[in-house]
Amino acid sequence: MTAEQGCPVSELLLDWGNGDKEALKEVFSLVYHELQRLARHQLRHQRPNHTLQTTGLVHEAFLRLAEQNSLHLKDRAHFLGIAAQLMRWILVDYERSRRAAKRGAGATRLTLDPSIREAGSQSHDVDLMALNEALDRLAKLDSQQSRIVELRYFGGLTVEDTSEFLGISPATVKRSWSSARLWLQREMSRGEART
Amino acid sequence: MTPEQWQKVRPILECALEIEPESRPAYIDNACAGDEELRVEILSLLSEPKQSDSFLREPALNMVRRHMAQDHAELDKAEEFALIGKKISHYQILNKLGGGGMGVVYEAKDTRLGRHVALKLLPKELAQDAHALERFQREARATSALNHPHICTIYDFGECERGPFMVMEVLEGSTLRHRISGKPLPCELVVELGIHMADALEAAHAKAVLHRDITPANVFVTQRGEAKLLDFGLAKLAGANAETFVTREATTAQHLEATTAEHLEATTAEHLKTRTTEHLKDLTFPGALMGTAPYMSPEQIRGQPVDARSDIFSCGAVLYEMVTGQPPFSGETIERIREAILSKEPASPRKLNPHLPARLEGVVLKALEKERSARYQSASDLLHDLNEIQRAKQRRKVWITSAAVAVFTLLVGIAGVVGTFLSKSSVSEAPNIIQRQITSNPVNDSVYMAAISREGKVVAYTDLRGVHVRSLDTGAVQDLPTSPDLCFR
Repeated sequence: MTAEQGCPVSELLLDWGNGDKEALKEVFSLVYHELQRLARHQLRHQRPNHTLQTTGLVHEAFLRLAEQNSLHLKDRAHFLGIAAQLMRWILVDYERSRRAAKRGAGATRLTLDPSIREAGSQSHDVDLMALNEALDRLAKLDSQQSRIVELRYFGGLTVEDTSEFLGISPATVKRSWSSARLWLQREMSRGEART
Repeated sequence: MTPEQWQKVRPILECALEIEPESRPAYIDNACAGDEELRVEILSLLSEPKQSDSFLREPALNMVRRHMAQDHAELDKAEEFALIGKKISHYQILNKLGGGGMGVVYEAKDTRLGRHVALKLLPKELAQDAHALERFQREARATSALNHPHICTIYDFGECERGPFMVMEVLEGSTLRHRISGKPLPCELVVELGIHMADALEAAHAKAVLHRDITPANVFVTQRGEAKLLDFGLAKLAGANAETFVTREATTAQHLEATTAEHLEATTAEHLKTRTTEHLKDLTFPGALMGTAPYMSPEQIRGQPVDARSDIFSCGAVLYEMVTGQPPFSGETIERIREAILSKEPASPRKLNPHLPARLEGVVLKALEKERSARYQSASDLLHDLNEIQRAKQRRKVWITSAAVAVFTLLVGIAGVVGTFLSKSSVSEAPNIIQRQITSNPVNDSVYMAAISREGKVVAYTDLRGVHVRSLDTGAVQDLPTSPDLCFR
């Protein structure tokens, strides 16, 4: 994973490590836009498993990159934050397209096997679109709390990792996380009531 | 709500969450110090009716992955339904028999010959895939080259708009994997099925076809108790060239690698590609890969050229699972399983199944030798030893059976004599009994022994003078010549 490999992403990351803040943005948009394009394309044209496989792999790759010693702790936090944000966007986008696809194809498929449709939705499933909006509103109240949710829920980070990356105590992470969850739940159920 | 309001709500809410629910109202009253709006807001958040402890506990990626699997199942079902009742070539699709990653099998009716067949179709997304297509064709070619009672027969191969299809004999029963389901099979059945498998392998190897993917899922047990070898999808003509045979795992990894690489190409993220490729090896993909890894031979794992002895190893792994109920090598990841195959000795089969005869254990372990020169060198050798076990068992059975038969005969004999005696006496009670004197010897030379002939016509008797035969009808007595030194007393 050195510059000799001459690939844009690692070069950009190195640039970023050397203080070029714009470089990371570029990495981000490079990967994100491509994945988004693929997600849409595959949902429309074929089975979407590869997208998610890819998404998962890219995510893992990001986490691994973050473990590189060449990254400073502060940069690492920044980096993981970006990875979590990336995951948030990809997953929300996936769920959105999925819903749209279901609306389109639902009518014909419904008659085929209703049992599968019922099994498809679970009560504890989170409405990612609603969560995404609620999270944006939370960011206006407390951006760090919104970040914690993003890191933990979308980025899959543990309390310890989150605390390390944000430079706050694990206890603070836990407290912020639990109050944010309550706030988000209320916000989302209010949203439901409105619609 | 404004950020300022939230900053007032938060600390009280967070402290309230850390204390027992029953002490919360008092705490909140106190902490809000008369700020009614604040109090109402906190109580509203705490009493959220939709509050659920599981909220956001499951990472988003997991949930979306689950959704994806559901979408998959839905698409699969939709496709299956769509095909039933339709015709592919001259085959009428009746229903789905089963299916895995590499093909869905339908029961169909051959409308020309009027017989039922099994029709295997590549899954839609694989029909465009060169690897899968090649594999499918190879399976058809390799299997059709083999005509053997323990190898599933291929009738036809063709192309339809859904992709290539293969027509095979319909088998009724279940796969060995299903039959085992974690429990050892009776040893006699293991020997019997093992003989079938070895027999099939012997025939395949004789035609220079290696199976390369023998697993409990690829052995079908018919309702008549016969094993049939399935899925020659990885079969290869042995020694066709010196290439290293690619295992299914490698094929899958390569395939996925190609797919991911293709996807990432646009991002030109060269190093992400290498990373993900590396990562692929540790990931556990559901289905095919995990199902196969535990039965691969050490040389297959190392990517070395394989020969018939690799199939023997896999067959040994399957036999091991048949006698113990579990695969010989296991692990949480493919890496672990591979390590185990390469360097760990399997747990003693007899410890796992005390009923297992030592001789059968010996056969299983010999087939499972890591060093291929220590293994059975051919399917015929394996077949020979399994046959020996069966014969020995049968001999013992014959011995036990004949011993049992002998005892039985004896008992029947006794019963017969007693029965005859009883029936005689009971019969003699019914008719009028007339006493009749047959012999008329003087008192000083009475009859010593007598016997009536079977047909009841003559009586033979002895007295001091010798042996005589007297006709019961006429009373005529005939003296039988005897040697003078014979004494009847």
